[in-house]
Amino acid sequence: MFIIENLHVSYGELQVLWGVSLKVPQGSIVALLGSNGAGKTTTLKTAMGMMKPTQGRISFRDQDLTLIPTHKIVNSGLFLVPEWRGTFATLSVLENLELGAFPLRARPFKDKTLEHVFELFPRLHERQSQRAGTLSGGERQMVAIGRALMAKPDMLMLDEPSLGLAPLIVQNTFKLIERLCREEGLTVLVVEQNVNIALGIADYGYILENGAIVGEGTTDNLLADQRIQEAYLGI
Amino acid sequence: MLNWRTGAILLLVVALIALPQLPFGEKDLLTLLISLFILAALSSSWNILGGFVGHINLGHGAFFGIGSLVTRSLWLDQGWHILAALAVGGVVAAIVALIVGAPALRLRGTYFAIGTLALAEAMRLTVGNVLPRVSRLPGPELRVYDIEPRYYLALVVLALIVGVSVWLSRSRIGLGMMAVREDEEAARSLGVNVFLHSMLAFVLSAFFAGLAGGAFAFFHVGYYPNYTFGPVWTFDAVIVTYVGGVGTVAGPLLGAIFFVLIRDVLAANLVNIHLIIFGILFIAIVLLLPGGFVELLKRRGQRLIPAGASTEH
Amino acid sequence: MSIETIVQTLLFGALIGSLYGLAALGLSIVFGVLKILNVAHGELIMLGGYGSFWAFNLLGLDPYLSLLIVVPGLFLIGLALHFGLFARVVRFDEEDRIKNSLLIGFGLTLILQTLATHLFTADERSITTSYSTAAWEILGIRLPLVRFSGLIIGIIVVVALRWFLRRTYWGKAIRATAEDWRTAALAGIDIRRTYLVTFALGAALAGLAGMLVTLQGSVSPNIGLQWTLKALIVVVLAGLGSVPGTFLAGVLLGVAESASALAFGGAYRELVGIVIFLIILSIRPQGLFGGSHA
Ligand SMILES: Nc1ncnc2c1ncn2[C@@H]1O[C@H](COP(=O)(O)OP(=O)(O)OP(=O)(O)O)[C@@H](O)[C@H]1O
Ligand SMILES: [Mg+2]
Repeated sequence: MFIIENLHVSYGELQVLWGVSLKVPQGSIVALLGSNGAGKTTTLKTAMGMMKPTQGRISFRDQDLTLIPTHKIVNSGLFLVPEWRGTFATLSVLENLELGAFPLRARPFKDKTLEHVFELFPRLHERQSQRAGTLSGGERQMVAIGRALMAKPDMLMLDEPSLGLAPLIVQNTFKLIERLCREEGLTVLVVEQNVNIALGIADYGYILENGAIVGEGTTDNLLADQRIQEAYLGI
Repeated sequence: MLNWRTGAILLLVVALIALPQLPFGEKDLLTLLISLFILAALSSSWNILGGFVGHINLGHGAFFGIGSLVTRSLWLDQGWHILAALAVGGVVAAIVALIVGAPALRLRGTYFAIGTLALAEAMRLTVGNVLPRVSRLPGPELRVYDIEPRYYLALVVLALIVGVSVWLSRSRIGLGMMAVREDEEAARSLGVNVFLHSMLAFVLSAFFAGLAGGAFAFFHVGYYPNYTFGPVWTFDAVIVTYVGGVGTVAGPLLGAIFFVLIRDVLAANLVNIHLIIFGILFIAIVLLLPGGFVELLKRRGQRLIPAGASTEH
Repeated sequence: MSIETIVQTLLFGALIGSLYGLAALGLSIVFGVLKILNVAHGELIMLGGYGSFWAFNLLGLDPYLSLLIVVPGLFLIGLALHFGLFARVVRFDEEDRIKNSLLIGFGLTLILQTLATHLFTADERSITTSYSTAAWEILGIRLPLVRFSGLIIGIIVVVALRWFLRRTYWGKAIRATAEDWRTAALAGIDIRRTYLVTFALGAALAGLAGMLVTLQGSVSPNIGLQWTLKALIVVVLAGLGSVPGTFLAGVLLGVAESASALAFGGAYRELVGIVIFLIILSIRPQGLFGGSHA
């Protein structure tokens, strides 16, 4: 179980999170939804130790992660695919993937996972010596997710994986995420503005507005909720 | 309004003017004060660009060198009056800054710093190559060497640069400069012409460095022409300014006083140990107290004034 | 001017240039990865030079063997300097980071120079070994062994460094951090440790260069600025990101200096590099950033 409790975060003087709490049970997919500037990215960044909360607690499998440096959080099994995708443009595809296995927990499995990633994304196998900076947006997404898998995470967080991608690629990405969860037991927290597609795979969802959780529920409940339909689904 | 601070400053100025006439105004003291004035003037001139606008000029010594070179050759070799020679020295330094400024100020941040560093080195090498080691042994001038005019000249140069700094720190132009330092983009969006403000500061800074160099040439008659182009002048100015308080009028003055004092006290037993102390102090200030001594004094001052009293201005 | 003189002079230029390349490698990798500019890099070279000088004079250690002490020694000094000083500026955003590192390097320059003057006096020191004057002669061209060794060592360092950066986990972590430290952190790389190791590596390279500088010429407390400047010129010439490119740029600078000495006289050899540097800076004012290391 991944738990965020009463998280308060500020950028300098400007407070952007006001007591966010959420839970991601083992082996489930949870969606964190909200409009631009709601604080979704900030929540994930704080979870990864890239920002210090002024108040609140983050834990993963009963282990306190608050104030722990990022690389240690990664080594404890949490992995974030950031909004900016996070591929190293000047490194080759293969090097990008290999760096995914940098955490000590993942290194022994490097060759096997690499094989697995290449099975999932044959495209990357073809392009393994190409510089990641010259890849298309969709291919870069594959590298980003492939790199995440190389780290052998127990829980994957994705920040707007649909951003800037064609509908078909978005669908494939979400299908893959769903499969990884159902078949391999990966726990997933996905941040999205594309509510339809996120709720399409999620078990549970939270709505974040102006730095606070304003609604939550199972996927079905959320989909049935009048307000959510109006605000996010454009119905 | 004549408060105690203005009073104290006035008193100090009067004392400095009267000093050579007083019984204890001996040559050693005057010599010490002259080197203090020159260092303070050089640091204050660096501060105009480095402190007010925030462009770190690591080639500032070159302008000091130009000023001293021009002043010296006009005064000694051409027989000009020292004041005329000094003025032309400053103007030549300013003109060089004007020419160099256009390409140099296009450089951002660190590139400006290393660009000016290289530029000064190029000038130093060129001067060393082109000019014979000593233009002329200034025998006659040394025979009639009188410390008093040197003292007053250095004092006047320092007074000028301090005056201009005070004016800048209160004027619209100075405000514009500080806006550039805080955030260039924001300054631009407020309608501040970033290039013009930087250029003005660069030229003023060079002009006064040139005057300081001229005062040095008048004071220190015999030296190799490229000596005043050396990086050590830049180093001293930067360190003195930061230790005193970069971006403030008083900072370079305080820093220079401290520097000269420490140098003089410690020189007796260990040559140059003051540089180690100053180096450490400088690093500590960059890391821990970016406002320098001035900041320290301010904090002290705030603590000394009882709460409530500070509300009246 | 005979053709031999010309070839000889240019060859000497290339050999001196390999020292420029070595001096620049350390500066470049630190600049590229930490985004800090250590202007005290030349002083680290100076320390390396004194290290081998004293190892030779006090312990009777051959200068090449003294590398076994000097290089790890400078690595440790690098660790200490980073830990005590530069790590404190790394947490600033990019502009403040460079600016403050510049100032710290500046203060450090002053301290190290003055300390060296106190401890070792201002005299120029050099190392004279039994093979100091040994040289090969090919077609009337002299190839002094000690100078030639600089080129060989330079090439070995380039190959080793490239291998390290391309093939090892640490090397890849360093390159990834150079490109984007945030993403590197998210990949599980301990950024602070990467910075520490990289800085120490840069210092170790400076130490190596310092030994060669002293063996081929001399060392004195004030050589630092001149070497920092040379290294900066090379870095600007080469841009960041390529180990062989940086070394090659150093060699080229040496050749260019010699060529200008031939053309205009020895007094101007120092000037040519600076002029090239200023020209490049004015063409590419935002200059050097971009590209990770390999
Ligand atoms: N580095 C920063 N400095 C200052 N404010 C920031 C910074 N990053 C984000 N903010 C502010 O914090 C708030 C939340 O930003 P955040 O990036 O977390 O939103 P988000 O929900 O991810 O939005 P989006 O859907 O647009 O990515 C916004 O108002 C934003 O302006
Ligand atoms: Mg976001």
